[in-house]
Amino acid sequence: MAVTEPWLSPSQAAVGKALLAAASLLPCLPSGARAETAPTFTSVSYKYLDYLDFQPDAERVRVIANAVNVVSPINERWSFSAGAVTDAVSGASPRYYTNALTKLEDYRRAQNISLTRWGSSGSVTLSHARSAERDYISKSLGITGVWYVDDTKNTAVTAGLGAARDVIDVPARGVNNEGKSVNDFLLGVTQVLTRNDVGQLIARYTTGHGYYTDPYKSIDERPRERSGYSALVRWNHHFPSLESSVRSSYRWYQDSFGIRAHTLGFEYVQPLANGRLVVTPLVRWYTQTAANFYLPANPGRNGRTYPAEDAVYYSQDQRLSAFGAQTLGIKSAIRVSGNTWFDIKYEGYKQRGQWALAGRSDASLAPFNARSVQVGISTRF
Amino acid sequence: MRLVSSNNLPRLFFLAVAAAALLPACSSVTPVAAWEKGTLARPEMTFDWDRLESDYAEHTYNSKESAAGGAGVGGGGCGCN
Repeated sequence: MAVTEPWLSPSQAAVGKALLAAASLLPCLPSGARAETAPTFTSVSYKYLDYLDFQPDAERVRVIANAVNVVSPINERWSFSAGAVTDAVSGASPRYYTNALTKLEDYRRAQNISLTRWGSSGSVTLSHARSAERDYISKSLGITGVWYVDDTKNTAVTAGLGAARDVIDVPARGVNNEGKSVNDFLLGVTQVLTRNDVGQLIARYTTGHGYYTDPYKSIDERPRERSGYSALVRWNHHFPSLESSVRSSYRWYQDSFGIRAHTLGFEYVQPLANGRLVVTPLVRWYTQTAANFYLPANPGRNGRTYPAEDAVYYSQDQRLSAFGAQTLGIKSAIRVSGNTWFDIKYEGYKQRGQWALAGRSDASLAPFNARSVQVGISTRF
Repeated sequence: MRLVSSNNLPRLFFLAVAAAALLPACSSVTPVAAWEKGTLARPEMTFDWDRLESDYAEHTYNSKESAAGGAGVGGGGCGCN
């Protein structure tokens, strides 16, 4: 069991034990009225992803991914979900800033499974996920409970606990069997506001310790502790006259590396052709400040800033700099027959130092872009 | 001068959400009856509309941005170089 790993602190081991104890309570949810039951049908979804990120002078990472997910009732009170993903990763990643692109190739396999117990007043879900690459293995366990505050079921409170245990092995870079453990705590509320509006607020606290350094960067030493918190607000609104809906979200994030970030997203869902076609344009904005140990690029010294002799932590990772980003995308879903849908989605992503809303941006970094195409099919029976 | 110590922020944060959870009980939000929730049952009005799509989005954003996570727990990590 992962919770016996030697790098666990007593408090994190306690979280693991709490997860197991909570899981053992799954069959003990109150029975009574059965307003909430497991889904009455089985859903099967498949998606193919073609992802590429690039900068003006070179392509960087390409990912070809296949994913499948099944959600099915077991009986009236229980349901399960299971999924699997394969990622074929190739291309090149910079050794520092956006320079010295170095070839990489990897293959990732990931699986997840969850079991949900449905009761009269809510549900409890126990989940497990595993992800394995040549140099990185991650295992996680989570438990999430949803409770309706009263019989109207207009207000639901969500609470969750999660624990992930990762192992990093890159012998060629002198990294052998390093560990990282991360625990999540989540508390949220979902509120039906009107017959056309539903809102949600979720607070999440994450704390972890272990190996956060990127072994593939030439100059990188990060703190072995990291904690962060985020608040996610989501609001879905339906326009009856247009039969359309807007899905909006805002996330605030701050962590002990000194990074503060804001994310704002909108999706406009428009059914057409008597509901046989659904078109969804989307937009997303993101901005973050730099980590407090990030070394800004210095055009005067071969483009690099080197750490001071007494520096403990330092990084030249572009992802820890201050920047802003925007995503534009569109998704179309077509009803093929009955309950079977085919969908295709395209997204374009741009990241620029000068778009950072706060913090000193790093104008020397090359512009960074990405595009992705998803194709999927889903059915239920 | 900082008004709130960063050490206290997580605690304040969760207290705020707990308070938000209790607000509807004493607020003026008009209760929506079960038979009025047909629109809210549409897939696009739920917060877990397309699980595979949201997993892909979270994974690819995590590989190029520092902020992570949102609506779930226990998702695990990756190398993402």
